[in-house]
Amino acid sequence: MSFSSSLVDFRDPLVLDASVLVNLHACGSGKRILAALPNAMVVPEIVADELKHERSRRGGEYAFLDSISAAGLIMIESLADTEDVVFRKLIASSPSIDDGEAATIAIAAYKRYLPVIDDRKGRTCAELTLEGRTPAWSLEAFRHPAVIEALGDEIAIRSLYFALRKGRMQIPHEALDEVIALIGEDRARDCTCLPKYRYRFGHSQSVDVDKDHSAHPSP
Amino acid sequence: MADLNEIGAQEMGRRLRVARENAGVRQGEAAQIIGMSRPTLVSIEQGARPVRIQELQQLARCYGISVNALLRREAVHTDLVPRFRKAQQVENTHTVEAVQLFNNLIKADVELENLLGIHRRRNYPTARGIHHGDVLSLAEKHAVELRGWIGIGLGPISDIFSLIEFGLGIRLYQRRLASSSKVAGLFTFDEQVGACILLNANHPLPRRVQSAGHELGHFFGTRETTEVLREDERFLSRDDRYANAFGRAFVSPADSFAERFRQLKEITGRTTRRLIILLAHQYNISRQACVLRLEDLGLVKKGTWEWFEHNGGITDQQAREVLGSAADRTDPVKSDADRLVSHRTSLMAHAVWKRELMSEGQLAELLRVGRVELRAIVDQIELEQDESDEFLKLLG
Repeated sequence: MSFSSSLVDFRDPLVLDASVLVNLHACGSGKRILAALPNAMVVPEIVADELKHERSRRGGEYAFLDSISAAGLIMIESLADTEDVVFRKLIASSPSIDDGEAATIAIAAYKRYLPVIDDRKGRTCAELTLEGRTPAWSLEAFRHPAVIEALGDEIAIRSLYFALRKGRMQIPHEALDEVIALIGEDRARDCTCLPKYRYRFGHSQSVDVDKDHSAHPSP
Repeated sequence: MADLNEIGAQEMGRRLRVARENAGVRQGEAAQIIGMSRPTLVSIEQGARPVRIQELQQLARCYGISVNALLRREAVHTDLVPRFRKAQQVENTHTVEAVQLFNNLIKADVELENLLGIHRRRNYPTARGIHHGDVLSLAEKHAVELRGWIGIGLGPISDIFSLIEFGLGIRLYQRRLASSSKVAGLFTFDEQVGACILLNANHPLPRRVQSAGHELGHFFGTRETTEVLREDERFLSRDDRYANAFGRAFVSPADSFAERFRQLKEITGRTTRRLIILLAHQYNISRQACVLRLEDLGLVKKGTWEWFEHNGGITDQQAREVLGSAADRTDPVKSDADRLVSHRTSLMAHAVWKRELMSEGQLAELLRVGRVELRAIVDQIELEQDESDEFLKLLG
């Protein structure tokens, strides 16, 4: 299964959740990836606000958002009244999701944009709200042919590796073999976020919860 | 909207007030930031005027929280900061930091437990009250009563923390505060969340044992009062003098402690450093606490500790010479406190994430960690789970 496929012929705007921006920042080539994608990129204002928070400032995600916004690679959009209705429903009903995910889904629902969300609960919620439309994964942006062409094979693969290694990007289980084939077994061993890591590699590297969130790699 | 109506204006107002007070924002400031008059905000917080969703979004942003954290059914809205403030316990930035941390730990713990259907058993004796009588005698009497109620006799306590957490069902947190913080411990009680204690994990084990005993005194004697224990406290209230005495009496009960001292002194003939080292070790208390307790009980002269201090003290090296490797007690709490999120909370966070009870964003906000940090926590447990799944397969 190819994970660039669902975005290849898709030209409508994409709405990015915070988790996607975290991955793009961690990969070290986020700006170039966004520039290469043929779609317009929308970031809900609520997501931007979340990244303004101290924890995201510390991790550098806010500075990244600032730079892609200044470069005109994304449009920061506030919720329209109609989208607000969906937003309120998603944050207040039980089970609920957080403000950023809810805003991403709400904009996608009304404008018929495609949301990009990796979080499992966020994806489930999006599928229910978008009546059958499936949100895209960050991985699909990383493996978009336009991105591979712009970055070149080597950097595109290295970006994917850093997103997994540094950003702990979540990927669909079905993409596991393809991703390992791309980055190689050796580098895959560094990526403890990969689904069923232990089955695959027998033993694991330990995850240093407190020190792992180090500065992102140079592009 | 159904969502806001469902909660009700009064409850929404309460949540907004708690959020504002926890964030340390005054009504006037908040009203000004969102372009509303102060009386309007007052009436929203009192539940007299329903809040509009746009206002709610602005207020949430002003308080540094999400609207979802204000609205979601499972969220817990504890009001520790205002409560400690009311009790005039919040005096400086370190205390504010400790109270906010305490509040956040409790909120996260309770919400995660509720989501997972975990019921924390409370095994609380009735609080005694200390309004009448000499506090020191009351403390001695109550400490023995509590030991009797728990059924642990009068001997040394090997693990006071487990006793507090599992024996009594008190929420106990041991986390590191700022290195210059003088806060040693906090205590609060609330019907919804129960009794809770926070200990400063920067402190060495014997010091934390002492602080735990002190907070236990508040739990048993003055439960309804919130409390901050500081290292540099100079003017002690009646409650604090009681709690100090209770703590000492609880960890080293007069009768058994005196008996052990006499037994050792019969051998050594006098109060030697070796005797103090052995006695303190048996009771898991510091050498200083040991000597001061002996002074309190009239078993050594007043000023004995001072004498030791002026004559080279009782050093760790001397303790190692007497106890060997047993002098270096293991303190697993330190490594747990070094983690961004404790082991137990990490496990619960992973479970709610796995069951899709909370999203990554919700959990990151609840635990006050970055998203990548949260992913690392989840990944670590996923790895361990893969391994246990394999093990179970092998058994099957």
